[in-house]
Amino acid sequence: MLRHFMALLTFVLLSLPGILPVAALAQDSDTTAIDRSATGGAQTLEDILRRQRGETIDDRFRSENTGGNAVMAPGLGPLGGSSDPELWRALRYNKADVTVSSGQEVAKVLVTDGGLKWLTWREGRLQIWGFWMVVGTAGGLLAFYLLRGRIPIDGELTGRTVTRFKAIERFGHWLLGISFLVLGLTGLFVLFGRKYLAPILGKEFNADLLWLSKLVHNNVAWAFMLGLVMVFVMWVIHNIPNRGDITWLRQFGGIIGNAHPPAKKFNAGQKMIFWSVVIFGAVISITGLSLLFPYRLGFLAEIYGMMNDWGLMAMVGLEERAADMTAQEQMQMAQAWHAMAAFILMMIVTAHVYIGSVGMEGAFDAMGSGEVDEAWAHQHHSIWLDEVRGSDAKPAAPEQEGARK
Amino acid sequence: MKTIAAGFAAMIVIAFAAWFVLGEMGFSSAEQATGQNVRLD
Repeated sequence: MLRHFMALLTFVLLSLPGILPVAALAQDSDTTAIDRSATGGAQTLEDILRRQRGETIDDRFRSENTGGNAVMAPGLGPLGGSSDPELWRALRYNKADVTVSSGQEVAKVLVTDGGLKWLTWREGRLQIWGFWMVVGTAGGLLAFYLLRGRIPIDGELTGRTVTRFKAIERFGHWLLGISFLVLGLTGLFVLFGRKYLAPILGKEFNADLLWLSKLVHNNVAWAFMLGLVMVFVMWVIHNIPNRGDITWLRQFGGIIGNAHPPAKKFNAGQKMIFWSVVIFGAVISITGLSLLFPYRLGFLAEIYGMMNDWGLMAMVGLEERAADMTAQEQMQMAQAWHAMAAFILMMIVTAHVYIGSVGMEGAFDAMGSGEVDEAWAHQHHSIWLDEVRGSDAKPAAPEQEGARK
Repeated sequence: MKTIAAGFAAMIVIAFAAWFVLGEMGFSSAEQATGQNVRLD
């Protein structure tokens, strides 16, 4: 699991610049100056070609040329001094004096550059990467299972059990886990539905499915957030890294090899899962709230601004994005981060589900009944077992003696 | 296993409660994104 997790983390870190739409768009910029003398300062074919190639171009010659200069556009009586191109440029760069009867400030933005880029990324790179992240994780785990097999409990079961997780802990875990499963499925439907499900299921059925998926996704989200808070509050104290984690990591947690390094209530691998769930769960929750209340919780610009002030945005070449995002662009970025964090968490949770079920004998009991055999506890959490053995270890039921066959 | 069922049941209850409460509070798209001149319903 450790190797899998580290490979996953490396994979994610290396691939992030390629996944991010804005990062990709910032690449391959041709900064060569364009001669616009032949067009009187208006855009040229080269401008259009560069834009179509997705290159970053300095378009101040357009964005700063939106005033109604009568000298530049004489004779347009009904429009005053403003020509149509000037008006459209003003609309495009949000410099037009627009009045709307509803929708507040956000409705005044009539044209955004980012919309098509976001759509292209969502329909292309996100779907391809997301698909391979999910399928690749499942395939990798299947290969690992075939190579490693199920991690057994060494020796005989003792028949004595110890309470691993209380009912409230298991409740919080399952509230979080089941809601994430539902959110994951409905989210995948929403993302892939139009392109892949509609041709198979029909447009009408797909429309109903996506409407229902959106309804379920929006409301189950609250259960996910409650579960995340519960899990964080109950387990954060047990997931603070300590020296024992280094020993555990050096021995690969016994997942690779046959060692059984000592561990407290949570071993280093579980701590990595915990913090991954907390961090990516928080990203999903924050961006999800922004999407649940569109244009009202637009705190992504504030977060970007903060990261910009700290120099973090400049490190990944996104400094110009933070300052002038429209509300619409904030929604697009919220959706992008939401989906990316969700795919990463899907990979991690899939690995977690594997090791907690078919990957390790006796592991499911911890979250199923809450009771684990002392032999299992000794093998995987020996320090924790020593701590609790004196207080709540249960005597063996007669029929459980020598229960292992 | 009871806690799995409890978690599932709680998720449904929370989802219905969120849907009902937010709807009652006027957070539906129809109420949030329209004015007198524009109707979505």
